[in-house]
Order: sequence, then C-alpha cells, then structure tokens
Amino acid sequence: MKNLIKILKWMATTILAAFILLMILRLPFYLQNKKTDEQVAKIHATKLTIDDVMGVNLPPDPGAEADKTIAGIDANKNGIRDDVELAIFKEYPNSAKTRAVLLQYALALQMELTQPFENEKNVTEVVREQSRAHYCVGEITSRDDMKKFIEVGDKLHGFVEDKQRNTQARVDFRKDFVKKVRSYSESENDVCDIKLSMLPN
Amino acid sequence: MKLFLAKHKTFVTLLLFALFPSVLFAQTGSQNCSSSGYTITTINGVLTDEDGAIANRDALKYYFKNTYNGEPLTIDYLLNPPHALGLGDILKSIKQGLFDSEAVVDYDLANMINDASAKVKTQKLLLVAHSQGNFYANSFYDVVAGQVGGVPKESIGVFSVATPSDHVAGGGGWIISDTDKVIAGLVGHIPFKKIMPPNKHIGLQSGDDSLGHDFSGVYLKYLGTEIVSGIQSSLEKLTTNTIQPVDSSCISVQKLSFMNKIAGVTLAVVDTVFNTTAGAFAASYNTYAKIFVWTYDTGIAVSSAVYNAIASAFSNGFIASNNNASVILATLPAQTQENSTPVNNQVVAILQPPVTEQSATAPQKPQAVFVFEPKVQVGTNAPKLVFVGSFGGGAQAFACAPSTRHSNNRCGGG
Repeated sequence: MKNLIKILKWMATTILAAFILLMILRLPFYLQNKKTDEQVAKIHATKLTIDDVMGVNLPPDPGAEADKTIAGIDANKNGIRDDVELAIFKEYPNSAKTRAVLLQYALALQMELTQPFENEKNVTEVVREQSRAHYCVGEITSRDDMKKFIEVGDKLHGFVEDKQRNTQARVDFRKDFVKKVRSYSESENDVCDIKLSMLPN
Repeated sequence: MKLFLAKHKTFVTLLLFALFPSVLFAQTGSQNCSSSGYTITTINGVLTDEDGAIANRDALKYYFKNTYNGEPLTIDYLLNPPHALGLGDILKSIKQGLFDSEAVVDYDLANMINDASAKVKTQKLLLVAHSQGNFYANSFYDVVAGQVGGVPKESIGVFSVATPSDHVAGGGGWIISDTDKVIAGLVGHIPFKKIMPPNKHIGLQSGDDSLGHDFSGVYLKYLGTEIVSGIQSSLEKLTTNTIQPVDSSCISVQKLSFMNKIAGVTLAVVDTVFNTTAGAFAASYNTYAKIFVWTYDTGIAVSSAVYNAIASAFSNGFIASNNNASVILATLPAQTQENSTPVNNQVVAILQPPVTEQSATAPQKPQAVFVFEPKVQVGTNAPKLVFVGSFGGGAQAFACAPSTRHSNNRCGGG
C-alpha cells in the first residue's frame, strides 16, 4: 500500500511538473495573443475623422522623404500617409464626399505598412478593413447608371492605389503581407466611417 | 486515505487543478444558416493568389448593394490556391478538362468546401467562378447540391465567367467573350473539347490584358453590367428550403481523405520549394497562357512551312478518294501572296492499314488522311490543318487557325 501511494505520488508530481512547464512555455504565446487582440482592437478603432476630411490639420509636403521608407511620412499622425493625403486634397478640393471615401481607403491601405508585427489575425483584420473601405468608395456614385458607376469607381480606386503603392518596395511588401490572410467575413462596422450625407459637397 | 488527503491537501489541490483545466476550448464562430439573405462566393482561376482572390471579390462586391430583394447580401471568396507557381494549376486544369463531366474531389476542393462551411451563413448560395475556378464550381455543386449535409438544389446555383468547362452545373448562366484568347481562342479549339459557346464580345483596348481573360481587368471592366445582370438572374432562381436547420452550418465540414491529406502535405512541400527557389522565375498567368497560345499558333506555322517544303517537291499530288475515311480539303479564302503555291498542288498523306488475308480482297481503307491547304499566306493566315479519319470510331476533328475562324466559331470550309 505504501509503495502504491509512492507510485501515485510520483506520477502526480510528474503530471503537475509537466503542466507547470507547459504553462511556462505557453506564456510567450499567451502574451503574443494578448498583444494581437489589442492590435486588432486598434485596427477596428482606426477611423477617419471629420477633421481629416475637412483638412483641419493638413501636413506639410514631405517631398523626397515620402518614399525613403516603406511606411513613408505621417507628420500629422492621422494614419494617412502625407503625400497621399495631400494628393487627394489637391485633386478633389471641392468635394468633401469624394475626399472622405478616398481618405478612408488610403487610411486602410496605409494600415498594412504600419503594423508592429504581422500574423494571421491582424493581417486578416487589416485586409477586412481595406475591403470595407474599397466598398465605401462606391457610396458616392449612383448605381442607376452602372457604366458610369464602374468608370468612376475604377478611377477613384486606381487614384489611391497608384499613389499608395507607388514604389516596388511597397508593391512587394503588399504581396508578402497578404500571404498571411485567412478567411474573413464582412466587417461589422458601417461601410463608411463618415456619414456622407452630413458633408456639404 | 483521509489522512493522506489531509496531509497533502495543497498537493492534491494543485493536482486536481492540473488534471482538470478550467479553460475550455471555445467554439470558434457561430453556426447558423439563415433563411434570410444571399451569399455569393467567387472562385478564382489559375495563378491567382490570396491577394488576387481578395481583389476579385472586392471588385465584384463593389457592383452590388449590401442587400438584394430586401435581404442581406454577402459577397465572399473561396480561394483556389496556386501551386508550384502555376505549373501545378496548368496540369490540374488539363486533368479537370479531361474529367469535365465528373466531380473531381481533390485536396483544394475539400478545403474550399470547408472554407465555405465556415463562411456561408445563408441558405441561398451562388458560386461565381472565373476560368479554371469553374471546374471547381461545377465539382462543388456536384458534391454539395442535393446531398446530405449539403445544400438543397433549389438553394444553390453557379454563374460562370470565362469557363473552360462544357457545362455550368445546375444549368446556370455564363459569360464568355469571343475575344478571350484563353477560352474561345485556345481551349475552344482543342480537339474533342467542347466549351460553352462565347456569347459576348469585348473590344479590348490598349493597356488591357492582351489575352482578354482577366476577371476584374477585362470581364468586369467591360461586361460589368451584364455580369451583374446575370448574377441577379441567378439569385432570383434561388429559394429557401426546409431542409437546412437554422442553428447549424449551412454546409457540413468535409473530412479529408487519407489521399487528400497526403496531397496536402505534398503540395505544401512543393509550393514551399517552388516559392523559395524559383520565385525569381514566377510567371503570371498571362505568361503561361501566352506560351500555350504561342505554341499552338507556332505549331500551325511550322506545319505550314513543312507543307511548303513538301509541296515544292511534288508537281502533281495524289488525292485519296473512294474510301470510307472522309477526305476534306482545307480551303482558305483566296489570297494572293508572294509565296503562295498553285492550288492544284495538294499533298495528301494516307496511312494504309496493313494488308491481311481478310482485307486482301476488300477495298483498302485509309485510317487517317491529313490534308494541308496549299495556299499559305505568310504572317496572318496560317494554313488549316484538318484531319478526318476513323480512329476506330469515325471521330472527326477540326483545328482551325484563329484567323480562319468564322464569327459563328466554326472553321471556314470545314
């Protein structure tokens, strides 16, 4: 009986030690998951503001510095790359609605360049927000004239995409970035961050 | 025993904690299958990676509102992943073309079905497939429609864009441009291979995909309205059913067979090797498809050159007649070119069957006759290679150079 208890004790000690060891080994993954969840929350909370649309705090022209790094320059820290932001304002100075949808799209595309790390979860969430912003661009054109709707959409999407991915390094970065994308469903946010009906023009 | 527990209560408590963890596995995602709403899933063609599939989905989604007929509309994608930098896709396409009438349940299809199981939350489901993705869409339909754990036939449909298949599962609609060099130009002219007849015309512009095959860059760009209309017609045909319960997945998860698992591991290894060592030579689908189209056209040009050499050696050729193997003279529109040869010079190669005792008194029947059209217009008008013969079945096949193709997609003079 004493021997049996000894054996049971030994087995239990081993199981307990293994469990504690596993917990220690899993700790980095647990911390990483926690960081990922925080980053995902940050991604979903990143939204365009009315001040961005109205150009309340436009950044200075970054000039040649704009393309020296993959992330580029964002002096006014609104999540939109300064050269793209200024290009949108220059092209559409008289249409707040057009600026709103394009800035939201640029904001979403810029997110892929500014992630602190890339794993399946946060990459997928960034791409989900990009799909939402891509769709938002169509909200300023009527679908009654489908041909015009398509033409306008192609032009607006292309305008932002060409400016945003204007170097080979950024194009290559994108290709690597989306390799981590996994299945995702529709975003639960409203399609457009700004209520377009509130905008003056 | 009580004394043991009292003496070692801390140890026992920790042990119980270790043996019965308080963290349980959480169920990922909600399982439901709503009778309200529609789901459209795109299935991409060859040489399309995740980014391309996302782009196709976003491009198609852009054309639709979030609702249809007052019900929510979800547009998603099922990835048909590229393998071996596209070489695997090409080989797979050939195999799928050969077994077009059967459902080919391979590793990728099983994964697509499982992906759909996670993504599809509505009873009404429409698959919109492009290019090689149509083989998968047809197989998906065959495996899932009307099956236990699948989707009742009245709730699932397929709409095909640029399909290389000879049918659209479930009798769905399709769109193929006659300027699509991959489908109408190449696949449509493979002997014994049928495709759905091209029903649209896209006038390609400078800067477009020269093959006229790209989903978003060509088909959506020029036929967006028609594609939307076709999809809407397909959605109209879908109805809800009383078979799928609302509190479980719309499509049951497929268990991967042992062979599928082996295939999955093999593909993972092959793809890794190709992606890391051959990445510098990664070809776009344009390049591969252009290679095939070029090879076909070059083959015709080479046979033309061979004929010219033979024709110049014969002043009067001989023509087979009075036999069961039909002889067809390929005729091109009369063209006057510097290096055309007189029309009387024709060369016919006849393969005679071996003379046996039984056939000694019977008329000799050629098994195949190849006729080369004598007039060759260098450059655009390659000669037509026509062979008609009874390879044990009397099958007839025609292969026309694209330049001699009539508007109804039949060969001239054939």
